[in-house]
Amino acid sequence: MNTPNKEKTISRRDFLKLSGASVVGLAALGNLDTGFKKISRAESRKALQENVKYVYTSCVMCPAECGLKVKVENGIASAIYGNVYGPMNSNGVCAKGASGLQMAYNANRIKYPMIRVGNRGEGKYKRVSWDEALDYIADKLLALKKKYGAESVILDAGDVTDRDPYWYLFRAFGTPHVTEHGAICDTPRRHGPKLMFGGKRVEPDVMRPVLVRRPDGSLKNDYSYQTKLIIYAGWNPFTATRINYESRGTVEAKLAGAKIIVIDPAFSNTATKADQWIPIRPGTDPDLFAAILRYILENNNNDDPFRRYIDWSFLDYSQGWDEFEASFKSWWNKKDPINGFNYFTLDWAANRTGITAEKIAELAHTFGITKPAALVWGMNGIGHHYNGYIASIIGTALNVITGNMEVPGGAIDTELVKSDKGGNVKGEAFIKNEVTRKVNGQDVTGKIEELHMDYYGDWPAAWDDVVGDYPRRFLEGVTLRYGPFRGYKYPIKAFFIRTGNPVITGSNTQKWIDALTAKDGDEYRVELVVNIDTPLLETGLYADVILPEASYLERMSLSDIYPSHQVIYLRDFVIDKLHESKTQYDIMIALAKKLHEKGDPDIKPEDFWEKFPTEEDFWNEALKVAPGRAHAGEPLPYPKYPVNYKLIGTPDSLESGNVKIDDDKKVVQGEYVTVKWLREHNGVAIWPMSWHRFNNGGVLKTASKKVEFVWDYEVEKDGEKKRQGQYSKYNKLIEDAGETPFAIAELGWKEYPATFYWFETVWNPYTNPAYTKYRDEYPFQVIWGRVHHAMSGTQLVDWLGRIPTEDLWAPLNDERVVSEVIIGPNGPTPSGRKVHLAKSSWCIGVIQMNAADGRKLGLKTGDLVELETPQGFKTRGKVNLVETIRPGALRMAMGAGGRFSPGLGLTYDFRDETPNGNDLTDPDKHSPIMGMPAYADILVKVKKL
Amino acid sequence: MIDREILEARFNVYRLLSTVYRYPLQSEVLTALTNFELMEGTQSLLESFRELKLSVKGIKETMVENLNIEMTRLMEGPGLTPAPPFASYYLNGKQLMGTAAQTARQTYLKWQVAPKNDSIPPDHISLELGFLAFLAKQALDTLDIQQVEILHASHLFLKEQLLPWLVQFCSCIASNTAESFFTALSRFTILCTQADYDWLEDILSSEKVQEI
Repeated sequence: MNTPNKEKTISRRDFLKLSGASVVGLAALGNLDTGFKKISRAESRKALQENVKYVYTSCVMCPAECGLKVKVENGIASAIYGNVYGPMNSNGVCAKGASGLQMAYNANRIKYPMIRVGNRGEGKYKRVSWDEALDYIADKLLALKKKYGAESVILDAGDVTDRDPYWYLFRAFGTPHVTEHGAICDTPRRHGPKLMFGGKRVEPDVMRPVLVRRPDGSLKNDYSYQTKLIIYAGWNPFTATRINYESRGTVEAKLAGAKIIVIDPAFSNTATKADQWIPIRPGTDPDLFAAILRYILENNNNDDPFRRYIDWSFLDYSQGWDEFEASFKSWWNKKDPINGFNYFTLDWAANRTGITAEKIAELAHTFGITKPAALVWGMNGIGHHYNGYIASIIGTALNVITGNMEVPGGAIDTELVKSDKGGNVKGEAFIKNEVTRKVNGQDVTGKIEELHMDYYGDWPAAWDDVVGDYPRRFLEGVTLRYGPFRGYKYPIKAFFIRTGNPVITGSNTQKWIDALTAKDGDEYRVELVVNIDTPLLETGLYADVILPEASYLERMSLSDIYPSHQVIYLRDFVIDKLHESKTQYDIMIALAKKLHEKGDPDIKPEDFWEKFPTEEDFWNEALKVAPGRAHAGEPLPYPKYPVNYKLIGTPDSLESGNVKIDDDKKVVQGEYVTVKWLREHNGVAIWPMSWHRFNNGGVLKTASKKVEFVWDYEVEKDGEKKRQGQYSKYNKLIEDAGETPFAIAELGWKEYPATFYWFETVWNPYTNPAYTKYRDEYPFQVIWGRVHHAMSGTQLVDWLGRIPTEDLWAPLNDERVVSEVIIGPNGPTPSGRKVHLAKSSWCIGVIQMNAADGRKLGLKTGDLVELETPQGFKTRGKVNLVETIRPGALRMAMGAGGRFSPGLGLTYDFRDETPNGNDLTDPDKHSPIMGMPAYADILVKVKKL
Repeated sequence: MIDREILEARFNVYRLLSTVYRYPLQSEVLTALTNFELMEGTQSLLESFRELKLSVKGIKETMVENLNIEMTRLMEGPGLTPAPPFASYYLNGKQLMGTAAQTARQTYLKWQVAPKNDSIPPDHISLELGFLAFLAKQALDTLDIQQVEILHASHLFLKEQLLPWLVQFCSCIASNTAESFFTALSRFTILCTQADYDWLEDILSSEKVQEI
């Protein structure tokens, strides 16, 4: 036992006697209690005999949100397993999921509400009560609303999907600006499916088991794989998040005979399972896809079974192909200004991609002839490039014309088939309310949603908001350019960031810091910054108020998963809320009450605590729209119901026929899914799978209910001409205003193109003539990868810091005696506590470099280098010289380095020698349609330090 | 018969300490602290208590606010703090809700008590000190065999639950603050609990108690 030296002269009578020497003292004594209350024998016995229980819930250690089963002993979560009833992960749990207790029970988690007491960035706070924190926030919000309008407030619900309570509250408050992580995730990647299907994510059909209707009418889990080929381009499901089943499914499909091809500058974990790894030059996926499409169009032969690439039945459920093809072919005779080849030829693509013409031809032929197949593209690849849209559009088109969409073993747009959730609790009805603003001296009335800074501002087609461009608007304010409020200007005065960390992940780090710390006189320009989270991340250091959100084991919500058919999980309370944390529902109600008490006319009891008296009531409302998809496909999920009617209700009520059919609304209404129902069914609701769901409209969400290759067109309906297509709304705004958004004006466009288009990426000297001058001096292209962390939010988890990943997160730490650093009155201050770290016992973020490149520069693994861009942005890190990346490319993990929040444990201690890719990102370059930061369009030179 | 004054003093000290470690610090409690007298004890114990009282002499609201800010920084968060006030952190690999927390909870339940604030881990310093205050009160209110049993429980709780981490926790406070209140508090906490432990050892091994 660790006790100090004792003075052994104490006798029993010499022990301290403490007495209150005055009336004040005696009275004060009476106010001191032990902090305990008596409980009955029965209560204590019951608590002591508390059995081990298991709770089904849903993970949040990354956005895959796998189903979990958590063991709880005496009120304490003690082990995490996968939920065997959930098909997304089928009983499996990854390293992140398994380490979840280290998040919930982390000593560094935010425990209490805090108010800042120093400058933003110093990390100095005082603990306050919830009442005080909410008073502060509500007073400020109401003052800002009165002076600048509710539209001056942004809620960014960050990287965790159970955000509906916040969206509901802030929309009711009156701001149109509620957003989430998707805005800085991979929006170019989603563009093709969005334009052509009204969807979002193309994934291979490898989720097994799937529940399928048999010919005899029974439902049975199908474990068979039909896939013959999967091509992953810039997608790494074995390390990436979101689509958990792809890792198991890819292996299983391969065992069942599928070929796997990985196209990636780096030899990723997925590539280790591949039959072929094709190390493409960064930023040239669109070029490769364009060459594949040209090859297929030029070589398709309907009469030759070995050249029958195109399945023309796609024309039955699509429109606009002729225009699309014509626009695509209009490039064929143009010459590339850099390499002189005709666009989209094999030689042209070989020069750009670094892949031989023969290999590209073989790839195109293989994809064309192998059926069923899936071409799938990812976040770090296409999603992070300025022109990623083009790859997404061509990739979608390739899956469609080869007859691979929605066939067993082919490709599925998971957005179109996943269960709906949220419904009224998203709060969309609130932003349909009308408001009046003064615009150029005149009163103008319009809907709240028409005040949106992006959709009616600089980014009308950015359907996921433009978080990466927030710093500019924080500094410059907003000018609306479209819609009824055109010409209206307003500042951004409040930024709520929940479970996100844009200072590290939201584009250039310094630009975010500059925007959050900019002042007008003595006041911060953005007057209120509130951080709601469980760990303390870098963005929290710039907050005025910090609110502790309950960890995922302490809260309830619904999963947001992307399966190949309708499945939904419950996230349930596993343990009691720790410290003073609150759930999203608690925070919504508490802040709503404050706003109402202080006179906000937009916050009404009948919308909040009267409507949702309990948390369960809120989530039951969110479940009312589940599964919410068209009854379509083969085999038909419920043969007794009409095709294409919307299905609502529990699997068992739909199965038993306990439904009402509304032929006017075309809805089959069963019993609503509820929290109670989910608890009684192992936390999961699963509806039957089907394929061919595009037939007869099915699940497609385009206006025409067809796959659309043209995105701005006119139709005649009931004698009236109507404009349709995903770009039509934005083009109409542009035409009405007579003003082109600046980002597409830079491309030379007047408006969004009606069909196929092409433009080059940025900071790529091999494809864009504007950058060829940098090729020699800045010979390296920087791309991003993933490690076993959820972007930036799980670095405080000890286990995950010890798992090497893909040459990006490697045990290259020096031996150190680490002086722990805390935020003191003067900023980061050594705490005096020292921890010895043995060499190579901990993983740090490193720079993956081809070994030959390293030798040319005289480097060896572990050397510290500095990377510098032509703009002068720098970061530093240790190189890891390997064969697992193509020459000329460098790769780093997002969120793995340069981490300066002391709430992150040992990752913080190595911040000076680990790279932050967002130190390098061009702060002014955002992809021109969705405004996504050009994370992977970076050129650098390397200097040894 | 065990000196009732000592039993009363034990109760007062533990409930005072438990309250002080329970955020937020309040001016009434700190003012009351200045009015207490330490009647007897070792030299170092007396000195440390004097220092503690001196550090809050003439306390004003602004001083209380500053102390609460410092307490936040030292123990409350957000993020990494120099002195996390939980046994599990020191005894169970820097995690919360480890076996130390479970053991504390079990102990409370066996004595048919539960923390009034059940949202903090059961091994928080204020709760462990508060439990010792509860046992001290029980000892004060009972006689003979039951009293001895309670004193044994206090001794065991100190030995196995609190003292194994208390010194490290208090050292973390002392080495990370320039605020005299906290340096004095950390020193007094160690000396006081050690003194109580020594007294319990002494009294439980004495002939009179053995006779009982």
